[in-house]
Amino acid sequence: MKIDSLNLIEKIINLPPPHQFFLCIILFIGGIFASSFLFFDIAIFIGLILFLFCLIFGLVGFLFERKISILIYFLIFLLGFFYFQFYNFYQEKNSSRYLNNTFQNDVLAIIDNTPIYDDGIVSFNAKLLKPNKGKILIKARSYEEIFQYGDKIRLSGKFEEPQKYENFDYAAYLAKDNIYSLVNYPEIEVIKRNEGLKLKEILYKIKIVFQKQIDKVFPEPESGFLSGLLLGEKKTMDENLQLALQRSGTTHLIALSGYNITIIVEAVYFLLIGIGVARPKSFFWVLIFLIFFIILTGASPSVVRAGIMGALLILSNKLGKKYQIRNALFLAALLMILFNPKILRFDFGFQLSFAATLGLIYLKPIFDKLLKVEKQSFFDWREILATTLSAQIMVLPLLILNFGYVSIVSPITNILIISFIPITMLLGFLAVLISFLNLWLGYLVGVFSYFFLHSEIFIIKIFGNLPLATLNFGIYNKIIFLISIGLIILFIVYHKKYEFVARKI
Amino acid sequence: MNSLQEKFNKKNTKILIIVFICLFILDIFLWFGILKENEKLEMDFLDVGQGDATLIKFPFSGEILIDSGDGQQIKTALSSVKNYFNRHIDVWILSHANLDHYGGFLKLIETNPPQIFIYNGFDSEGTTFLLLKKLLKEKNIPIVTLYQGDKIKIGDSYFSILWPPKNKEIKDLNDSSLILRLVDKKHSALFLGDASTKISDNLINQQSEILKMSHHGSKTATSEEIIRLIKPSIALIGVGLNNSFHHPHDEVINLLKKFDVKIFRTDLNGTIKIIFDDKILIKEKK
Repeated sequence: MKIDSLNLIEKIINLPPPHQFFLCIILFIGGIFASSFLFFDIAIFIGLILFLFCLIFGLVGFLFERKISILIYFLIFLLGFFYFQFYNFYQEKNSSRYLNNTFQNDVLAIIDNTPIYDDGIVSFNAKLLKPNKGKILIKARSYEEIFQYGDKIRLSGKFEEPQKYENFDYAAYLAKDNIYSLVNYPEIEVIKRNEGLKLKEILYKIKIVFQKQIDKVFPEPESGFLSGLLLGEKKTMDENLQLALQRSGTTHLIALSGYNITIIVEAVYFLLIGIGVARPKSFFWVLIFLIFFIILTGASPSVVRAGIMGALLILSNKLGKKYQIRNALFLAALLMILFNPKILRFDFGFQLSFAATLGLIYLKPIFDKLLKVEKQSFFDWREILATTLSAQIMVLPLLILNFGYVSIVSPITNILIISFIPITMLLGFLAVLISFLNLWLGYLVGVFSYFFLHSEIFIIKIFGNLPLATLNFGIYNKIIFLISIGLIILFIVYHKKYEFVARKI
Repeated sequence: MNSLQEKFNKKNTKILIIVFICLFILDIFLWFGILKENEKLEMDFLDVGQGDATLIKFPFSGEILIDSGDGQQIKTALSSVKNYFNRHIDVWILSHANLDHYGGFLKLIETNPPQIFIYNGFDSEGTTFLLLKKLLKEKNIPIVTLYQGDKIKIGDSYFSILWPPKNKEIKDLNDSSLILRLVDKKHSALFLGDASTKISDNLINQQSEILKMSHHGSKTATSEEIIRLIKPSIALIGVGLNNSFHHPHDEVINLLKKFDVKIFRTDLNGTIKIIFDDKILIKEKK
């Protein structure tokens, strides 16, 4: 046993550099992850003890064995561990928390995102101006769209602490965007327009114009569904459809844009290759498309993150070796996590897009083989099925953990629908673009997208309204989550071994 | 050389197939549109949750929307009865300025504004109603006020307006409701808005086969007297499932049953399509 563990250490030390690099990233991220479960005081305490251990063992190891690399790995883990805590500490210190549970008069703030209007209620984030600090979430009544990104406002109202509900930690959800206060139905007055960042202002305006154009070209509920697909905006959607989406396990299509982008990028890339554009050129065009798409959706951090993942995915077709794309993916994730370490545990969208990409790296080659996918064929259903399966399976544990239930019909609904989502989005996007030239031309092109949208909604409603469409795990979701992850890893390892044996023969 | 030719042919076949599929889909839509063109007057009592909305399609002529619910479901409800290429509605009629009747107009005004807006002339002081009027003015849509005695003629059918009288002061917005009677060649329908029994008990010449029940079937809006006067055979009630007002009231339902009136409720029956053929045809769309 002792020899075994020594062997392992030996192995790790002698890893080739790319794998060593990978290990470092994993450890740093692992440190952040472990730390995110602990409160500041406890975390610092534990961290310091671990650090002491490290020093002592390091000294002993150095004196007797003259090997310290294993120690460096451990220190990297600790670095991540402390990084999360100090980031969190700094953010909370600069938050508006000190105002909570008080009534404030005439506070100045600037609207920080696109306000969302939903049946007479508008909600948006705002940055408090000096002498106050921090970001808040405001809810107000308004049928008229008076608020915009970049408005300087004066408000009077009660600052409240976000709640932690039984099955949803709203406080943590908001805290990941560094929001620590809610202000519900305050008195608001817009003092000055266009006080935000110019670039962001333009981006948000584009998004709003596009959103309105979708409403013009498509009828409900198709327009709501399409703007969910294209802009990741839930907005006001038909309640029946929303329920059906949940029950059929397809909400991710409209709520979380990360996953879509991964799929759409893949689709556009294959479409271009199918048409006959050379690979390097398609890569370039997909990149342009991606940037355009991100700008269109208002370039929110979650979409930018998803966009980077998407770009990496097509890069994977350029990079020959699997570990290269794996490293690139983890490096990208690391950069995003450095920028905001809270997303690792609290941003479901980030987790989903990361998992989906991971699935395409690790599972798709396996399914390609199992389904005998041929390269470079145009609209090959096996290719689509392999892509869908690998992303879906990787995402499944996250869905179980987050929602506590799994839609039994989800695999069927998703396989039936997802294959058509990229083409729906592409056609819808095209129709809306053309409709800017001429609304009737837009209608005409929109027919094709409408045809898909209508059929997709039809399928979603049929499966969503089936009795017993969902399987509820309740409190066991965490166990099932671990089991499902274990199964996936086993599946990958098994096929690797099989591949290895096959090669030997 | 040959293989190049083959490649070219393959690509062409692909394009041809795509073009054919596109044409086929367009064709389907076109025929749907043609076959859906109605020769009879059609009335769709829309399922918009708690609220009223009725779309009336006149044969070979325009379409009128009477009220629009509170707005949450109007778009979905409308697209379930209209086709993709024809989303236009010519005339909007608002019975009275309550949000559960005009909310939907706010949702529709950006995407498909009407040519004329008709209402009873009684403004609500709420900011949302003012917003609706402001938007109508911005879009240069004429706002027409109609009173007792006025008529709207569309082809062979007409609406007569039974309430409110000109220059009458009415405090309660519900009682100011525009009461409309739609008369076709053989059939007629009465729209009571939200008017209470005080108003509807005293109306003359209001006998109709189809009755849009007043105030979502509330107790204060329907009496035995009215049912006797109107002699309806079909009653329409626009209510949301398990609404907080407990509409419609049991007494009203029992009263209708007593007079053998067929009851259609949007919460149970969904959108109700009524076709004014020789006989009245009714289709439910849940």
